[in-house]
Amino acid sequence: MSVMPPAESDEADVCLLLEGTYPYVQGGVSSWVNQIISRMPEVRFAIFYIGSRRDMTPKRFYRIPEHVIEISESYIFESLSEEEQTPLPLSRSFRKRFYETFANLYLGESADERIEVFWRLIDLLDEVGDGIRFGNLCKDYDAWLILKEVYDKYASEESFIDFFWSTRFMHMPTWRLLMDRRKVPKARVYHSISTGYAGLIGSIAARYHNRPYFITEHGIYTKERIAEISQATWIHERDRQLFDYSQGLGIFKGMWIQLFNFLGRVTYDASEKTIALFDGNKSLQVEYGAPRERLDVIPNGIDPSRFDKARAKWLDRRSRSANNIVVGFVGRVVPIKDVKTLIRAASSVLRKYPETQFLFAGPTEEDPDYFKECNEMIGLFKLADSVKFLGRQDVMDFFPGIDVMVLTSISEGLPLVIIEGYAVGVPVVTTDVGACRELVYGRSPEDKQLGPSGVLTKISSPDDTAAALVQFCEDPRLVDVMGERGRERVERFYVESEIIAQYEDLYRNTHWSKR
Amino acid sequence: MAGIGFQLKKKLLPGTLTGVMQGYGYAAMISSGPWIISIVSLAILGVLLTAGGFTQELDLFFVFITHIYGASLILTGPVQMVMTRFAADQHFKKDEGTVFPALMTSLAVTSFWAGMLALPVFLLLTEGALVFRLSSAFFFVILCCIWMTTVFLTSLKDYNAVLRSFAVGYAISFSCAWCCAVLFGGEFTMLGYVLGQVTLLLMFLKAVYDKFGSWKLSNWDFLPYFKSHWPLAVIGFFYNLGMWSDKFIYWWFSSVSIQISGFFYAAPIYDAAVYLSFLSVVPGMAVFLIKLETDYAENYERFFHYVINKGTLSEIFEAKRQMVSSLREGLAQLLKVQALVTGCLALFAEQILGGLKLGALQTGVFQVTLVGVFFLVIFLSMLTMLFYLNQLRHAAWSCVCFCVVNILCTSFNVVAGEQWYGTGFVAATLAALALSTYFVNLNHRLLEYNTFAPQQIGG
Repeated sequence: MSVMPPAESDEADVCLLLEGTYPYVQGGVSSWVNQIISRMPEVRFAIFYIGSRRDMTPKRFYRIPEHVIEISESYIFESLSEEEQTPLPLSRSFRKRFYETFANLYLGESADERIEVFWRLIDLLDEVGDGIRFGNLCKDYDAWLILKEVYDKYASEESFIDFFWSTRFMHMPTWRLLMDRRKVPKARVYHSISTGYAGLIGSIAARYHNRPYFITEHGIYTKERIAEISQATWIHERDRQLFDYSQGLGIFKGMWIQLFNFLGRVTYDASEKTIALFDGNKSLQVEYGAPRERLDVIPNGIDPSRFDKARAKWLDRRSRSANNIVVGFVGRVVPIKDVKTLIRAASSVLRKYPETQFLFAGPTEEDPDYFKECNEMIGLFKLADSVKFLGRQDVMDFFPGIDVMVLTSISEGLPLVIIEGYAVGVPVVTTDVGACRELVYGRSPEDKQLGPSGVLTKISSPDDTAAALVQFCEDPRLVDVMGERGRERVERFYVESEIIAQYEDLYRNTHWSKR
Repeated sequence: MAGIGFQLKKKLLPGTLTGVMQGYGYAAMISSGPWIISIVSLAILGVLLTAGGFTQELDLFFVFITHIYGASLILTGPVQMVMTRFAADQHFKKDEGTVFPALMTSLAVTSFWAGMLALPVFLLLTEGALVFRLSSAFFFVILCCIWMTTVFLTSLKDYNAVLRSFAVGYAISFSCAWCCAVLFGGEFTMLGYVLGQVTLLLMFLKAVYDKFGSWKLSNWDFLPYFKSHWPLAVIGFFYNLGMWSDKFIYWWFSSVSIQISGFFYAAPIYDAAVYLSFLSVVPGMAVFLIKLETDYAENYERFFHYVINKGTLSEIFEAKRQMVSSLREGLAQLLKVQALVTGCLALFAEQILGGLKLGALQTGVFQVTLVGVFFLVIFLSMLTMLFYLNQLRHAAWSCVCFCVVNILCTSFNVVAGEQWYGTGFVAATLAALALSTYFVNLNHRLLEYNTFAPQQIGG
């Protein structure tokens, strides 16, 4: 990265804004961040971590490499001290301007107007600096009048005490984050790995330092939050008949949803480039307010050469026993993976091709009840000879032993396991979720030209999955043809070094285009 | 005090005229009983002693007693208010084991400083028989202790017993004072009077002991209350100082004052008229206790019911509207009753005061201060509303206003001459009434805001 322009001595090249992930929490996003950081040793990174509470934060899972020159943290669900709840006197003119603007954040007509109001509010906060506290929002009479006006407009039939506390608790984390906005490290580029709180603070810091800002989204933050809120039991709702969702969610859930929708909009609006892992998420981002022309896709990637040995073993096995198909599943045995559908499918495949084997690799202890139910189904269908749970497996050992990989997930992002299977040469039968369509049929025209490297099925359809697997049993050569396409697909479009290069390019060029 | 009001209201429920009259009579006794008993017994004592030829001692006796009442109320006022709050909180927390030890501790402290104050004053700064001065100093200490104890009497919830104790205590005071005077001479009047007061104090202590008694005699839990509830101390001090400052000014600075002993003066022209006019609060206090306070307390509770039990803002607002309208209604009734009483007394002032052998100047002062007492009754109601609304600072400002205006205007009266006598007190009560009414209005307007906005998050 010698092409990076010389930096001011204390300034990082890239500031990553992370919410509840690297370096504390394990998971897909964390390992991606780890990959980005460790593969770019010449780039000086800074990290702004957003957590809920300090005392609930686990020990760091990742060791921080030396080219991460600064880590700053903000815990937005910490309780407020008495001092922070004590209002400070505001000058008459400031108070008037501040609360007039503040009111428009809720009463503004369009989303665009509210975003504009939001930035004016940030300017006002910069103007007053430490001269304002959360206590002002709680106790100033002007704030009370806004609260009443908003209540009358949107919630006049609801319990006022619940409305009152909802507004307080809803604003608290955002306020905490805003008060920490000067703690965000100085950097040439701001890059948040989600919208929401991380996106909000990223766009504020980038605007303050006049630096470019962009987003990479693995899932769709706003959508995930909305799903979470819909399920939440801690938000008050008027009693309603069970299972009747025609009345919609309660107003208080609606308020939280509005908040995350708004954070998403502000973030998308501020971002110079918003990157999704696959095409499918782009349309969701548009749905949640991202301007289409600034969207881009950079998928996940692997180093295919790491799988060369496993591939050799796999080819060797294929050349010797080509007729009995071994179907492999890789993943946690949990409801979202819909293992039960796969067991039903296995039962109908086995009726036609009793020699077929089904191997399940992955932890089973996460949801013991579900695992128990799966085992009961296997007993009921008398499949125990052909269907086996192996527990955690090293994919390098597991992939050479299977012919087709199968996924019946209800929801996925971009499943890395499909790419890894492809690298070995294993084709896939997968439900049409997340990036799976792109992984099977290709994304770009060149990619599509390679032809399908697997079969897509409908969600929770044992018949569909079984029919797809039967294709491979009937014609085992299909395994080799599609597997070959998969390997090529990975080698051309999902290579880690090229993906890293794309980010390097983005960090560098976004920067220069701005100066 | 709303507790008594509710009990009395039950008595009124049958709705018969005699029932209602009984209820109001009872309310009057409860709200004003203790000092009616004391004033009446003192007045009778005065008549008897005059008849017995103890005129010299009588002046000394009465001037000492009024000074002791005034000084003890001003000095214990702040402590009384804070301790009342402490006792109420202990009652609310069901932690009444601390009540008796706390009372004992506060009595020990009170006796100590009251003694330290009274002994030098009565021994060095007054003249007269030693036994008279010593028993006066002792009376001061006992009276301070009685005020401190009354704080805890409300938690007994046995108002009859309290009234009975007052009656018995004053009966003993009254008869012992007279007996001592007759048997041992005029200088023993005070000693006899004190004996009754000691009995009264012991009866109170026994009542508290019977309910909350324990062998623990010391508890300092109330100390932090002086820091956290300091506006109550301000209220207690300035209210009582306000109530007595016009009298002290007349005693010390007016042309009508008479030196009795040392710096103990009397201003008979002003004093007698003012004490008499104070008797006119009785009907107003009864209405306040039985109607205004209970209705308000009920509506206040209703308001909070809507706040807590998930009411909409319009429901909460409606509850507030009812609170305000019940307050208006109660005030209207209080005004009617009090205006009628004040009007009648003012109209027949000449006959009444003439019957008591008081002169024209005193009749004039009586008529003026009656108006002041009229305002005072309403001011007291407003103060109670401010207590309900938990606006102690506003109540404190009202009391400071009362006291300051009384001192300033009464000083002006004294200089300006007889035709102005009493108007300082009227100005003070009117000013305090205006300010407290303004605060009550303001706090009703901001009630929802004041209910919600100060809530702390967490903790």
